[in-house]
Amino acid sequence: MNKLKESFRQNAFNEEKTLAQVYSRAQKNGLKTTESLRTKQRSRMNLGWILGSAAVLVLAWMVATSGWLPTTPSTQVIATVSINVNPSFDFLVDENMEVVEVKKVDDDAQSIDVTGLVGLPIGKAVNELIERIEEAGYIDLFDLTDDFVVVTKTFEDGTTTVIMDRLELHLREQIQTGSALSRMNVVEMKATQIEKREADGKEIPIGLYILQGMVNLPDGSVKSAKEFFAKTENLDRVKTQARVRITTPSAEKIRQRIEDACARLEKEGEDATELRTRLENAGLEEMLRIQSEIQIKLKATEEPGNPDSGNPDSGNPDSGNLDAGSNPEAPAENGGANQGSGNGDSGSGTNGNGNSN
Amino acid sequence: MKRTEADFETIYHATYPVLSRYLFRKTRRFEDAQDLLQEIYFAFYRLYLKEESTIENPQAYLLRMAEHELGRYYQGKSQFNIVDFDSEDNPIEMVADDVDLDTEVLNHLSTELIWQEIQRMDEPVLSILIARFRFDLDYPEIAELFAMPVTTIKSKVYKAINQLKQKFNK
Repeated sequence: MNKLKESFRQNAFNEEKTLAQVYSRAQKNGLKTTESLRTKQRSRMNLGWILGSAAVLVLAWMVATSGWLPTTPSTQVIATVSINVNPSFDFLVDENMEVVEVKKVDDDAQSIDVTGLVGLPIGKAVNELIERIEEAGYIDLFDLTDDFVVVTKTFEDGTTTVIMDRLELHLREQIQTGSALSRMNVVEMKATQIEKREADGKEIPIGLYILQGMVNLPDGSVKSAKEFFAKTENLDRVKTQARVRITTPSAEKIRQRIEDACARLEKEGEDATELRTRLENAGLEEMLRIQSEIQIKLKATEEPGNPDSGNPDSGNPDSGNLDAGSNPEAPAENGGANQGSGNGDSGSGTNGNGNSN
Repeated sequence: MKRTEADFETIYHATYPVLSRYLFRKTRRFEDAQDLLQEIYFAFYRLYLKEESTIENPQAYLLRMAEHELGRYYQGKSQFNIVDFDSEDNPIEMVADDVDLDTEVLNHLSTELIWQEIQRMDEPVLSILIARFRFDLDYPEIAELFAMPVTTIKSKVYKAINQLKQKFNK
């Protein structure tokens, strides 16, 4: 990042500075003691303290690895976060919002390396997993095809609303800003434990199990989220469900991928000047139209001898595209966050009617 | 279960991007939006740590708080009429969004020094720059937000950056 942008990031709407100001006011108003001013002050540890802590940690590690202590985690699992792209996984999450176990749910998942995901905050773990799924070739976050991930949360009995909110927010942060998640259509749902048990019993990933129920498909007839949402009628049906929240990539991300596609077209010897000019001032609807046109052109360049290569259906603007609608900024989002007040932008392109029950 | 500051911070970090954008879009003034942001999070902090308070969806709750604050903010203010003292601009035609503004000359300076100069700029230029460089809005979006032609917005950004470069080139 150049210094100009860096300067804006550090000084305009600086998250840490605002937090420090809030805490400072809280202290002045007697809501917060000096000792509890925890921000950044903890990091001002002296060298002796650091060395002492390091020695204790090394000792603890030696004891733990020598078998003197039980190695099973003592933390309590509060929820299972199930991820379905095409490979499907279950993350078991503790009350610190950290992953304590990753389960591979289907055959495709077996080829994905999940090393290092245990111990990560749940949001980051999911984002990291999506990156690995992309590396394995199941999805391409930079092509013009909409990618879907279904995120289903099943909470353990007795989990408080506060804990549920914390989990939601950990995920939301990554859905909005995560390198991979923010480029995808994220379909979020909550499942009951009964539903989860039924899905496990039928060996169907929970997300797809619920989605299939919503559109009355026979069990097992759909194998992946991509396949499911490739059918426009399925997507339309799901959008009307109150328990579903769908977040689409931001307009900026869509613009980026169209620009990438223009570059690919030019590489193939096609002239993309007109498309680029239109893109310059395009709103979201126009962007989706341009995207469809590029899809057709790209397909034609890939299959020059194919008489169907110009099939307009292949670039159907409805094919899998959510009406990310009119959201001009942050990932289009709907549902719980809207709780009567909209999602922060009058131009929000939300889908479905999610809630946070 | 008792709510902790760690819980508050989780909510804070998860909602900050949405709320800051929202307030900036609604006020279109950097300073005002920052003040409102602090006000809202302070009120939320005070409320959130009270155990008896019921907040089912923190983001929705914060947005509602923002709406209330904005209602108060709008009263007696005429900030919707953006006063553009610089309407004599000679708009720059057909400049692409991603055109290189050539800000390399600023790269040897500290971010603090650059900011010192930026914050001296008048409104609406300061807020237009923030829309562009802090929130990464493109020119058509900024134009819509500030109800000005795209060319005027581009022109203002160019002029401001050039002014900055000249200042440090001396």
